Amino acid sequence: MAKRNKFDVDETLGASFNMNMLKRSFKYIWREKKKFLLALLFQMTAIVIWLAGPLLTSRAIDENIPQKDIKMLVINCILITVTIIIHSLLVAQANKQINIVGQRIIYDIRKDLFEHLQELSFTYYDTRPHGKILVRVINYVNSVANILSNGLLTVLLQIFNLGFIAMYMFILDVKLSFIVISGLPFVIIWIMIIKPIQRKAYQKYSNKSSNVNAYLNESITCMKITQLFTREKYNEDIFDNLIQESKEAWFKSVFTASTVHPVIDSISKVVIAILLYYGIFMANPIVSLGTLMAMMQYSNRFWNPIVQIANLYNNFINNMAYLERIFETIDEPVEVSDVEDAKEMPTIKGDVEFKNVTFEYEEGQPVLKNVSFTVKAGESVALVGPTGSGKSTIINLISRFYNVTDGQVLIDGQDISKVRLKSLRKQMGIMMQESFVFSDTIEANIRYGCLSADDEKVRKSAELVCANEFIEKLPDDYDTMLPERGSALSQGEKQLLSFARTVASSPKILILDEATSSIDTKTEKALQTGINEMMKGCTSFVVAHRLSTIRACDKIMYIKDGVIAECGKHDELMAKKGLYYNLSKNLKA
Amino acid sequence: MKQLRFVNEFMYGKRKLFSLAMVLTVVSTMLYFIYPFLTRVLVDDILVGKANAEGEIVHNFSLLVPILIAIIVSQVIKNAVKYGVIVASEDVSQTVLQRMRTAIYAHLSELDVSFYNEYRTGDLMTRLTADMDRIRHTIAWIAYNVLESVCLFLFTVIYYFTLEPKLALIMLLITPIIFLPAFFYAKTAHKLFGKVREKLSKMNTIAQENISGNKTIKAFAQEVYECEKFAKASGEFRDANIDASLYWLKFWPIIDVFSQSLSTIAILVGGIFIIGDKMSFGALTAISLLTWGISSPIANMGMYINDMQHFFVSVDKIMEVYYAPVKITNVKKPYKPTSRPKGDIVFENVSYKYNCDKKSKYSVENINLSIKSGETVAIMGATGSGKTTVLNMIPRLLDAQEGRILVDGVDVKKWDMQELRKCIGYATQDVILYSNSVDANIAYGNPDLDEETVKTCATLAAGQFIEKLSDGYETIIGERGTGLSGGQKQRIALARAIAVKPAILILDDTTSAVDNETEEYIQNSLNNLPFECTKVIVAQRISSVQNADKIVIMENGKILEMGKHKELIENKAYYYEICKLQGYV
Repeated sequence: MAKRNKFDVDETLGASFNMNMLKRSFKYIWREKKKFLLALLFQMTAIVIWLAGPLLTSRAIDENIPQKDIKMLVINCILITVTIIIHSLLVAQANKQINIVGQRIIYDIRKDLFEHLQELSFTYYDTRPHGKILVRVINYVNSVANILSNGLLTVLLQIFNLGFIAMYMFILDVKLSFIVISGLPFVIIWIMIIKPIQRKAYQKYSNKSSNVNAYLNESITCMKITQLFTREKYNEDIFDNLIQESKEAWFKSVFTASTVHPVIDSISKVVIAILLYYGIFMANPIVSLGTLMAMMQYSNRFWNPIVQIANLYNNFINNMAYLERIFETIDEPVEVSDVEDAKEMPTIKGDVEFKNVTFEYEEGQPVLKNVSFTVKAGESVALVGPTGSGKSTIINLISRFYNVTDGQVLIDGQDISKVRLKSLRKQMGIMMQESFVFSDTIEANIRYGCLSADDEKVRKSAELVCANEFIEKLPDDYDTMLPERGSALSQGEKQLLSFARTVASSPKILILDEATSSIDTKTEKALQTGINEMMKGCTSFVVAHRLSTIRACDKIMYIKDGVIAECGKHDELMAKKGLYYNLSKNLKA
Repeated sequence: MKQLRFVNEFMYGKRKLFSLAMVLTVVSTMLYFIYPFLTRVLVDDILVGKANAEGEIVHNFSLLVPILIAIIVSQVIKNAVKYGVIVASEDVSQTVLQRMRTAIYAHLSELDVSFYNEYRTGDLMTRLTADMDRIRHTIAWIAYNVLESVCLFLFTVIYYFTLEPKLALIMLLITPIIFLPAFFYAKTAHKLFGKVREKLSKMNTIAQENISGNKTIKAFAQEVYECEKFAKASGEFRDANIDASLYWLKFWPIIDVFSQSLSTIAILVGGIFIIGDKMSFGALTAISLLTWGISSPIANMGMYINDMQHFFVSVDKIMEVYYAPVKITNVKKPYKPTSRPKGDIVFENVSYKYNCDKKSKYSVENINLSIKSGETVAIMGATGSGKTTVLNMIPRLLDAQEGRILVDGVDVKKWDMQELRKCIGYATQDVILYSNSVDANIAYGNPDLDEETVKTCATLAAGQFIEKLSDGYETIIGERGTGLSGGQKQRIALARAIAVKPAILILDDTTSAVDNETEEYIQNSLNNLPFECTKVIVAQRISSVQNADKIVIMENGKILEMGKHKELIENKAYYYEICKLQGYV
């Protein structure tokens, strides 16, 4: 088994801040560049227009009012109002564009993440709590996309804003402008100090939060067991611990981040004080009231973007943690995938061959050792042997859920690692030990095997496997909506439903892994007819413990310790009086 | 309002702190006002100058430094106070969040199967993460911000009135124009938020199932179909969000223009007043500096209203779960056994229906069964005949609608639930294991179990295979026990059931995936358990049931026949047929 992550194990990533990650994020923004640039353009224009405001104000105060020129005052005020209106309309447009950009980025990242998840192996899903995977797809993406759209735009704008304000300020009065800017280095120093603390703290928080989610997810899905084993209190305590840890990590992060705004504001007020002091006391001649007022307005407008940028920077640092996780998942290597020049698998006849196949889940621990066999089209093969001997592994390799470590698996002489997976698996019917049922109607579940199946095919599939009996007893029969994991059905009913689904897919190679284990004997007998029908048309591999099933197969392979110990028909192997013979003594049914 | 009351329930012990935070918010706003006030003094007395008794303009420069220092000190204090507000708000919100989560978690543990059948995991997760966070955000951030905005507005207006009442009045007249669109928006946007949340939940559910069912999806090569399904849900989520934000942008420009133009009005009207010698420049300066004190709160109101809408929706979602009725619960003075229960089970005319309406059929009907302490009773029957339902009623996972079930002569509904379940060890048909180590899973019912006992139980049920795993007993199992074979899972579940040393052991088809050799081994172990135990077993193999004290055959929810192995064979009914099929006759 691979290394596993459970609910209370933090997933701290080694790499620190990565320029590469930013570049990859930009790829998503770049797709929406038209709208983004449009938004940027609108906003910039809005700012330029708006900045005329203080200039006009200064004129009103320095000229119109002292000169008692009411007419000019009114005109200037109207002009100011016009700039405000244009500004507002432009900003609204810009926001419209950027919101759309943001939502599209969310959609794109989520799509890439989800699509990649489809390709990942069983091992990936088996080695981590599902809640941690889910939280990346849903929650993290939301958070990150906001930064990439709105956040980025705001940063660009505010830098632009700053540039313009600085320009206007310097036009107004050079010396005073220097005073306003002088506070900046102190701000930068402060941010540099808290940045590493902030980043670490938030990373820790996101780890803890992820743990909480994983535990919640599992608790909900496994509630029955919790109640049966009276674990409610114990589990509550674990949960309480997890959220306590999450809370503490949060505090550390937020108390650090919250210092930014007060510090910047304090610095800005000191700067204004110095500005006023200089303007009134030191300047020769004394600065005009209008200039001073305009300067103060600009100063406020100067520091505001700085605060915004600082806050965004905080936000950005926090979202780095999420981005890391998202990219980590997208970068997860795909073990089983189509090779570059993969061909379509032609219609399968059904010859299956294993040529010197060796397989290890983990290095150095082979589960199958140099296994070779041939099965002709239409033959049925029973795989028997002690638990863990490799039966399920053989089946997994036929359907290429894993790649062989060594050797080849051939179907109709074609190496299956060289064909398209979809074309391969669509022609196989695989029934696994656990019958997973979707929270959808019965009909939709059966149709999952063949999306284009019409109603008749669905019903016929159900009838063939004797599932129709229980389905027709349900309140809405085929239209009955099943709850999550089909919990309204019994295990046996779920297996029958899975069977119907497999039948609907009209497989050329049938693989049954303990497929009837939860079905009662009588139903199984009736079902057997249906199974036999299915097996006529295709090559089948059956892992079973029931003598009747095994006997009916054309070939029996006894797997032990990763090799085929015995192989042959029932009567042959019985005559040998070997491993199979011993086994069959225990097989009554 | 009931939403606010609900949240308030969780704030006990922190209400003083929260009130302090609110008071400090008011204080910090007042401190802020020192700045424009002093600026006005500065402009009037120093820059412009005042006429003295002789009519000369005097500039009172001596005031400059004290004023500047006062500005710096007051604002730094204001910022420190503000930081205090933030810290306090965070503390309160995190506490509420913690309490709410704990309470909901505890409540979830009380809810029964019918609840979990109705609510999907994805939806519950959305409530417990996104909705909870929304509540936290509202307490931590919105509360003080709204208060600050209101204070700012009020103080500004009051201050304006002290400077120049006519001007203040004119500016006030504008404010309704700004409020109206905001309120209208608030009323009508509610629907859109509900839709956003609904789409989020749907997306959550699809992703959840996709992750859980990853093997099935691969087996049927339906990756493309799944991607399409998800893309549709994700697209709908995106569109709902866009609709919501675009709707807001219809109102925003009006709000923004009017709040910005307050400043212009101040200059226009103020300028006219100054020209008419009715107002000082200092007053104008102060007013201009503070117009944002009127406009920004109003402009922000829209955002706050937005957020509050989200908040109310989220609280509703949480309340729904919090108040979900607990259907299976203890009576007032529940029965608690004083010694180890004997394990007598009696079913008296028990009937159960999954769905309560008249139309639907009974899952089990008129079950009468008597199991004595120490006996082994086997239940067989066709798929869906009600076997698991009967088993589930013993530990009260389900409550019978008619009839009653007695354990040790006491109606199970009168038993203390915890005590009842403690004396039952249940191995379910659908094996559920936790993403934890093997020994943690086995000791699940009794986490303080010592290693020795864990190993003993494990060996009884599972033989040696655990020791052969990569990390032995420390091996971590994947979620829901993935990574192990069906038989291995069943055996660990069996070990878990045995480990609680139950008086009643319930095994629902627990050897279906196990090979015959191992099954014999398990049978042997079960016959030689180191403690007294009544066993109720559902199985399909005759080998598992033939030695039972009583075999019960069920069909369509009713008991068809009952008796020992030999008796039932003579009946020549269902059991006889199965024996024939399995080669026992």
